Amino acid sequence: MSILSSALKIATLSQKLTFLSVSEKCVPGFVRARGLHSLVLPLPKIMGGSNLRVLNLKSSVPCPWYISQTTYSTSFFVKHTAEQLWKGVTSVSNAGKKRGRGKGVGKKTAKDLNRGQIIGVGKANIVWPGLNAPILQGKELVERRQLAPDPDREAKLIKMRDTMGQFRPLLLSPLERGWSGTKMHGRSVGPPDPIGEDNFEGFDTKILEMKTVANMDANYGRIRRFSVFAFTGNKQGLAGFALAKGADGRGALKRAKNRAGQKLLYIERFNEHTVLHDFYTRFGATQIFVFKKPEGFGLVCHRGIKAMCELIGIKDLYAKIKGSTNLQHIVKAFMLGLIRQKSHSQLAKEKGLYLVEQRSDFQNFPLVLAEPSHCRSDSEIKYDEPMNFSQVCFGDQIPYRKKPYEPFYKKLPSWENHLLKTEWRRNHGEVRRWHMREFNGLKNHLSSKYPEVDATYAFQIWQKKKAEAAAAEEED
Amino acid sequence: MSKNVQRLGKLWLSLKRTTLSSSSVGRPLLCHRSVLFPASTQAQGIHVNCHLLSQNLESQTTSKDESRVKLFIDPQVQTLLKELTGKDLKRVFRKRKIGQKLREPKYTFMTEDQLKQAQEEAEEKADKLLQMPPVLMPRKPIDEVLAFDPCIQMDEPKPSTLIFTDISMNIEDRDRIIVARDADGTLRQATWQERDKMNAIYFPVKGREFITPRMFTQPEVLQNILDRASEEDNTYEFVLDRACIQFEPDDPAFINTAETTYEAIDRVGHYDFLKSTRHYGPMVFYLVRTRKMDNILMHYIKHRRVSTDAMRLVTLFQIIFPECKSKVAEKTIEPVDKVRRYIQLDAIKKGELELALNAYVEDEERKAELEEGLKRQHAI
Repeated sequence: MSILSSALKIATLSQKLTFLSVSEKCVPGFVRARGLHSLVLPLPKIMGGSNLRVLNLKSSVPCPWYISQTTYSTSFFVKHTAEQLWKGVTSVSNAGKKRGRGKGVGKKTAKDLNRGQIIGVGKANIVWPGLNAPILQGKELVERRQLAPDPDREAKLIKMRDTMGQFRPLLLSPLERGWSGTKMHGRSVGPPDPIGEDNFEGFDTKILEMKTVANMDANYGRIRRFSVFAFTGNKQGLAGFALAKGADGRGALKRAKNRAGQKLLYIERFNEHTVLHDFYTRFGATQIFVFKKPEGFGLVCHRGIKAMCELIGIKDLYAKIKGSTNLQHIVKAFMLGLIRQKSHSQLAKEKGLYLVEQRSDFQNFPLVLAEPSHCRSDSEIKYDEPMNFSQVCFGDQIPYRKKPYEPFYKKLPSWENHLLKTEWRRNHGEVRRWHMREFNGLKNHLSSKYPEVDATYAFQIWQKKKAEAAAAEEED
Repeated sequence: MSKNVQRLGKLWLSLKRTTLSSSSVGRPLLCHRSVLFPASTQAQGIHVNCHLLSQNLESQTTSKDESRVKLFIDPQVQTLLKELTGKDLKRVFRKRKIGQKLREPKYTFMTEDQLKQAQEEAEEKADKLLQMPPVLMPRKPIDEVLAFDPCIQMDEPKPSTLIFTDISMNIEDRDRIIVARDADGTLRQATWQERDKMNAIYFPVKGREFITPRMFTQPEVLQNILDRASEEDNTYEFVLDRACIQFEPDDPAFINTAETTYEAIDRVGHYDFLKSTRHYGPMVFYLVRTRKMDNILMHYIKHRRVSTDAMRLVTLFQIIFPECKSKVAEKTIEPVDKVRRYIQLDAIKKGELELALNAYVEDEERKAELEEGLKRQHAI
């Protein structure tokens, strides 16, 4: 023990000690290996019984006779190339990828500090002939010399590093971002490509579905492809849709868009804002009830139908889907329904009766929309004939209308209790607003005579003081 | 009014004898101290304004004017005004912004009879909508003392006026007994502003506000609204409709608001904004009555409505001013000649109107010639 402590004392005194290693191979005493000196000390039994080797790695410093030095030529950093090391820092392993690592918002991206740095150019702006400058200029030898320091260099480097590895916000506005995250669903991709002179003016295309599909092949195994379902329209009644597949997403997208432009249909609208009438339509297991709505109602429906309506030019509509919400089926069902709409004159003709519109905003004035060539009389109408316009339009289907939702607590006895308790102040909000509107603050019958009873008195004084202070400041 | 006074006398006696709540007439009587109303200060201010206004108006108007105003209910005048108003159903039932949620339109299959009936109903409704608000002279202030009893003079810390209101049902607001007992012991009929306030408290009218809207009390607010007038907003109609709800037709405030609006319309020539509304008739009546009809006549001539509207306007003028120079006994006079006669003899803007009329006549002649020529050519 005394030897160890004395050895450590020597080492600390000399302040050259940087590394202590324990080895059993060495014999106690002074060792000189590979040109370096080291001191091997025997350790007592309690500490493991092995020998302690004290060495100094700073070989450039002249070594005293009692300490020898060793270096290790191999290490983790020496074994790998820079490229490998860089990859290890910046990427995720394959196994990690499978577990879904290295994705998401909190991802830290490494900065490449080498970018923008050139060998031979540094803080000290020095001309090194042969490194960053030619050796000969004409016939003269270029001399090494220091130029004036470049103050912008550091700032430029920092700026370059700042742009790296930072979260870049999406270029798309929230309205253009589509239905969900970074997916293409609901995103607008512009008009179909022009064909000859026809350049699809006013058209826009939206991607309704973009997914990978696969089939199995004997030779290649699973073959993956992109499937894109696109809808295009000019917002004036012309619209079309198409499905296209392709090995790469962009190609499939383009093909779907252009194909949709080739399959246009014209859709009749009522006053260019809604459908002609309520209707029921189905395709496969998808059933849709579409309701005509007044101006300003908006599009209250499935997002797919909403996207379609926007491209067709329908602004107000309510649609309820019953059954499957397979998007391709929704599109097909809705388009079929739109095409099968009957014009007002057709409805009047089929029914043999006048079709009259009464709108609340026109005070229920009977406006004749269509008249039949021959109008039936009362006696000609059968007793069981459906006369309700909505019933005629929906055919034999009756839409299910849900009861308006009522919160559960309204049935509890405590709700009654609450109503009774708060009855005395049920109108206070209204009165407060009225006061604010009429008197510009809450007032009572004493307000005019005794302003300090006013609820806003403190606020008024504060405002007054503020105004005075502002005026005083201006004077200064 | 005399009946009321009698009733009041009885009431007063009973009041003297019994307590306030149980009157021998058997009607619930409510009493109010006017000082109890916190919001009354502003309202009173407004009424004072109106009062001053009415005095001004009174000084201006003469008995002749009153007789002219009374002509409004003359059947001949009414027909002329209605003809001038027109009944374009598309305009009568046009879209209005009345702050209600839009409901989906109702669609119906109708037989011929059902359609006819619906259209007739719409016509009736249109007539109702086009009923003109009455044109009246401003009401006279009530100044009637019923009794004086110095024994019950009030010298409390706060002497105040007590107002007694008969709140039994089935009485018109105008006939309702409302009396006031002043602090000095005078019992008098309540003034118009007191009556309006009491009626508004006990019998509120839907749409009528307790505190008069600022657009009727501050002229600059009304002017601001009128300056921004547009056809799609129905600005003039909005102002006049609101005044109709807020005031009685003989309230000086109503008359003043209506006349300000008519003059604003006259200034910018927006006459057609009120076409097919109930306010067109009173507007024309006001313009004719106050001899400011030259602008509207010019408007008619420029819009080629000489044989219809312009002629009716001149006829109306001759009814209201029977002493005018242009009136002729013979009835079979050509519309253009009638208008020309008015322009030459009675119009104030003679030169402009004459020129416009001449241009119109020339234009008509040229048109007739052209048509004739076309006919001849087609015949060949």
